[in-house]
Amino acid sequence: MQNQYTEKERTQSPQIWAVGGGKGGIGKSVISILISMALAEKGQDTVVIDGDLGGANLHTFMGIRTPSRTLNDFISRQYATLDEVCMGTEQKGLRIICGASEVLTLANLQYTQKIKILQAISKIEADHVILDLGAGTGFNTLDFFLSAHRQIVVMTPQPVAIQNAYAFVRNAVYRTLSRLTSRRPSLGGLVKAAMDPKNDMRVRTVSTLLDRVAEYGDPADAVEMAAHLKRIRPTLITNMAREPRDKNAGQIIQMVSQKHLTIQAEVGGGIYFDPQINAMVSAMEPLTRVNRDSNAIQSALAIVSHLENTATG
Amino acid sequence: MNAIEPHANPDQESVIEQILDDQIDINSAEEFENLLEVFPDNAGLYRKFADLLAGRKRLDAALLAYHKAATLYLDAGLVLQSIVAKILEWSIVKPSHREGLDFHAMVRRKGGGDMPSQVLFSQLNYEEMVALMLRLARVRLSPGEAVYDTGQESTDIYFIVSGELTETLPQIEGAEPSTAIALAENDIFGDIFPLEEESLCLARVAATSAVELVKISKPVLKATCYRFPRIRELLERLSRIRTPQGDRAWQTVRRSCRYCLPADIKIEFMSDDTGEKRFVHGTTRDLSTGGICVVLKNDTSRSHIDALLKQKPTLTILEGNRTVIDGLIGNVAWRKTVGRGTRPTHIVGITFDPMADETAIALNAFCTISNDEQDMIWNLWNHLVRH
Repeated sequence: MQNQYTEKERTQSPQIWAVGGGKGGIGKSVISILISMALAEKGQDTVVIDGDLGGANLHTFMGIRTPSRTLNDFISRQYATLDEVCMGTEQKGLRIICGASEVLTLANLQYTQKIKILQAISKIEADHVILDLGAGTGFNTLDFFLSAHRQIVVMTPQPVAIQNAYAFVRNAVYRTLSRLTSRRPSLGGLVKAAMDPKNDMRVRTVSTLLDRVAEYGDPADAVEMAAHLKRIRPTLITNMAREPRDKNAGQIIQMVSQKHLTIQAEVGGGIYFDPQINAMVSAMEPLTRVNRDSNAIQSALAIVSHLENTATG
Repeated sequence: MNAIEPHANPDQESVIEQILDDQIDINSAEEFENLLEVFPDNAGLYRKFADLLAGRKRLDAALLAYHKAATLYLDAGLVLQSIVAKILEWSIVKPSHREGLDFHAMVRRKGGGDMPSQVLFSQLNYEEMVALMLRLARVRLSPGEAVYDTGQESTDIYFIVSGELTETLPQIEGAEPSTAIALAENDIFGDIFPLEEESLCLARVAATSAVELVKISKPVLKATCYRFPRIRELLERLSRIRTPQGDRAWQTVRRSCRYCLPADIKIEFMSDDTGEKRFVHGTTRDLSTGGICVVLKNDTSRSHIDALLKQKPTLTILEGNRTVIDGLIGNVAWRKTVGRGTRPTHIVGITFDPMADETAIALNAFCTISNDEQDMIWNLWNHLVRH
């Protein structure tokens, strides 16, 4: 099965799209698969990776009970490339790299392992790689998210889920600033202090933080930080929408992010609640068998068309 | 248990906000102490507690509570509120010169902000600050009560310590209907300038919630400004500032406690008699990393509540039927029943035990965004998504 991909002449690295956001149970994995399927349907060679190494379960959505090889086999050097770890799916043009929960978690992933995985992902023989990230806002999860060409944040239309998704975006912004200033103790201290919403410096927004950096430090630092923030352009997708208004949830994060984080998020659309998906997940039936006329697949195709037509960061 | 005002709505609003707005009445020092175990960093609760103690002539305890409130307010950047708590503290025991200087230094260090009274007090020097503090008189208003009416002689300038008011300009014949401007914490109002001439109120100002103000009369301010002309300069400018209503939630640093968006809570505990697991459900808008206030669902049985009070409950924060955070273990430190009739509402305040790192991280992430960000998300959700 692998040959059909490796035989293609590739001149470019794959486009990496990371799917993250807030807590578990909001449908990140289902969205990752639906987007992967939509890309594959459009003729794009696609690999979906289970990046939730602490609670890997993406394979179950593909009907795979026990994966024969996983990402851990690559990390432990049983395979030299990620292409070798890929497993085929029932969907033409779509492969999966399963995660392995029992051995490794992203929380304790070492820096060199993280770099190794990121480099290997960029060498996968595919047009697109979809990275399904785990729940939470751990540094490694954020680093994988930030390293992607396209950063997708999933939420459901409930206030708590929106708050969690916003907290994820906020942490990604501060992670960027922390990394940028990690070797500059005074600047790093300022960024760290600003993360506390009740900080004594009365810095309540990233814009104020940049003003303070420019005012009390080197204005060039503020310009550099602003340039890095410009590269964070999360695409916001509302899952399990039941009413047209539910799809406005993305606008909320877009507006709050613009005001408080000085980043331009993009509303990527929404996917309606689809009872067929729920039934398939419960029955461990591969999602690749979902009816092509279903709302979920049609929404995913629309989202992918939109994403393909907009520039990545 | 205490009755509450009919408009209290504990299952939709923050319990703490309702206590601070006098919608939920707490009338015993012990009850306050229990509640402060759950929210030990809440300046507003300490201020209320101190007022209760002072009213009961427990002055030593009131002194400490005002001191704590003043410190917490200042930590939250609420300078005017801190100054008022300090005035009340110093009305019990006069401060030393050193204490006065230290407080002023703290105000200069931690003050500042966008709102008029924040700007004013953070810019005053020590003598100017003391001159104003000595002359401020407290005023409390109930909802609907007017501060002054259009055309009335203007006699005072007011600083809003807490609560909300509306300023309504008179309708002029043939012109557009008059509009009401919202005034809130940290605004300054009163048409008393120029100080040397008689002046009339240009609008009607009335309270829309329970309000606390401090004021200075025109002759007293005139005498003060004669000695400290900069106070006049600052006040004249700042009393004319009106914040666009939509921006208020962004600019006003509100209460020192962080309030979360409404979340569903499941509380698990063992029954008294059989030792079986029992569950009660509720909602919260008051959650911090130290504790939580849960408004229990109306169908919660009295026996379940009684059993819950004796046990060590485990809490789960839910979104629909999905778990957001679980494994929060604590103790019921405060309990309140509000409303009369056959369906009273039960509220419990629970302090959290030390928790696993993983749980603490999850809870921190849940509570980490600021009041302004949460307010904006909540307001936009109401406007854009709510069905």
